[in-house]
Amino acid sequence: MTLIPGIDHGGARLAAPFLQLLPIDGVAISILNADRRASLVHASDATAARLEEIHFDLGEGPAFDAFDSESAVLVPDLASADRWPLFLSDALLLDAAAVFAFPLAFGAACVGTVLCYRAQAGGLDGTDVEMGVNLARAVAGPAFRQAMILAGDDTTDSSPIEMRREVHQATGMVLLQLDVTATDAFARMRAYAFSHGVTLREVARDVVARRLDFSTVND
Amino acid sequence: MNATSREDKITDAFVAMTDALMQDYDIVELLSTLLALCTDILPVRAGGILLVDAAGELELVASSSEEAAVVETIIIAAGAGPCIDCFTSGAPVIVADVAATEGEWPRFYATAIEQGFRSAYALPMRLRDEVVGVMNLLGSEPGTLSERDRGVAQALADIAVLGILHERNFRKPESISEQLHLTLDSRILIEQAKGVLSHGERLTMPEAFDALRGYARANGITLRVAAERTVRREATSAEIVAGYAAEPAAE
Repeated sequence: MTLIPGIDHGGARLAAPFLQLLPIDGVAISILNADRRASLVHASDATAARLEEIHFDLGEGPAFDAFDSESAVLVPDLASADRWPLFLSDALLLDAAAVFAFPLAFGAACVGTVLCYRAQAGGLDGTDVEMGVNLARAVAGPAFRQAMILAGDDTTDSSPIEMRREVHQATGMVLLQLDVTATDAFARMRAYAFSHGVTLREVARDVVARRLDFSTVND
Repeated sequence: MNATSREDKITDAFVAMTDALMQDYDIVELLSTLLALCTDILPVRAGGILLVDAAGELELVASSSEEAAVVETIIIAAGAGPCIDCFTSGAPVIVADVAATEGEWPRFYATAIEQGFRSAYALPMRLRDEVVGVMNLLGSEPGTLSERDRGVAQALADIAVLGILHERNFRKPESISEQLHLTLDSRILIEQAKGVLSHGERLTMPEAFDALRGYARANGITLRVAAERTVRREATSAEIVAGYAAEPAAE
């Protein structure tokens, strides 16, 4: 949350396709956990960063809804929206007239959101929405890795490429152990890793090896 | 089967791939089948296909076997080994003797030797000027591929690229990178589904993959759809594994 937009080149590379392919003016990519504790991976400008920040200050907004519903949330005209009174009261002071939020889908798990804004009101057409959804799918894994690197988490993991399969397999096992969605299972693994001071990869490895079963974990 | 000459096998492989491209197919399934053909036709024991993701890193999307030994070796080769070198240079990397790679790639050397691999070949998967991935083949014996085998392997790698592009064109033309990433996303869903089946039915990860594949085939759906059903629990793990238990490893 303390990042200065534009200097994290990894994040900028993930944001670039949204700016190039969608009729928008700015984009913020963030990774959320189940408690909506976020890490901002990249914001293309100050307005995008602020729109994202308002969510965490006030606890509501289209990006949170996109995360919760795991689907795109489109607000073509903020001035005529009435769904998020707190969010809107702050957002309307900014240089943004339309907001579009897409879930970062990691297979069946949702790990964060991509929040896009436009200075002028107006909707996205069907092709744009599909493009946004697909781009968000494409950057979910890299964005998640970027968030871990920025958070200083898992940096001892010399080869992040090796962790991925186990993390996804463990997500499948934990969703059954807890009888929850893939998104919640993934969030629980992250929370467990965080509270125990271990890496997500270590948690995943223990789950896959059947040394750790979340149905018997109390936290 | 022994009556089939190698030439016939190669021809059959290309015909089978061309046939597959004419129908709606699952890309991970197609690539896995293609790699199984490689191990059948070429003097190699295992193989994998890696595609580049949005951050420019290689991800393993399909392999001839889901065995940890194979998967681990190829993934390490993608971190520091022949695969990443092939991807970076855009040229094939031939490792005629893994035993000679200890200085260059110590982890790859250790893992490959431990898993019984003595040779490795990494072939670029090209789309026009861009390298979009790598096909990695692993052999049990030291040695290089003959000029001819190299040609066959490269042709199969080229077919893999066609398969990835073509699958998406069935739906709608999209950007190339988007097509690659949807393939990567399928793989994530499959891994999540393997986890569900592994926990629900006490299967190993390779068994879980076979069960998922069996369920997809029995129901005429793609692996991706079968994986989605599993992870979203629209079908129970017992239902998905039912057919597999009755008819194990129908290869």
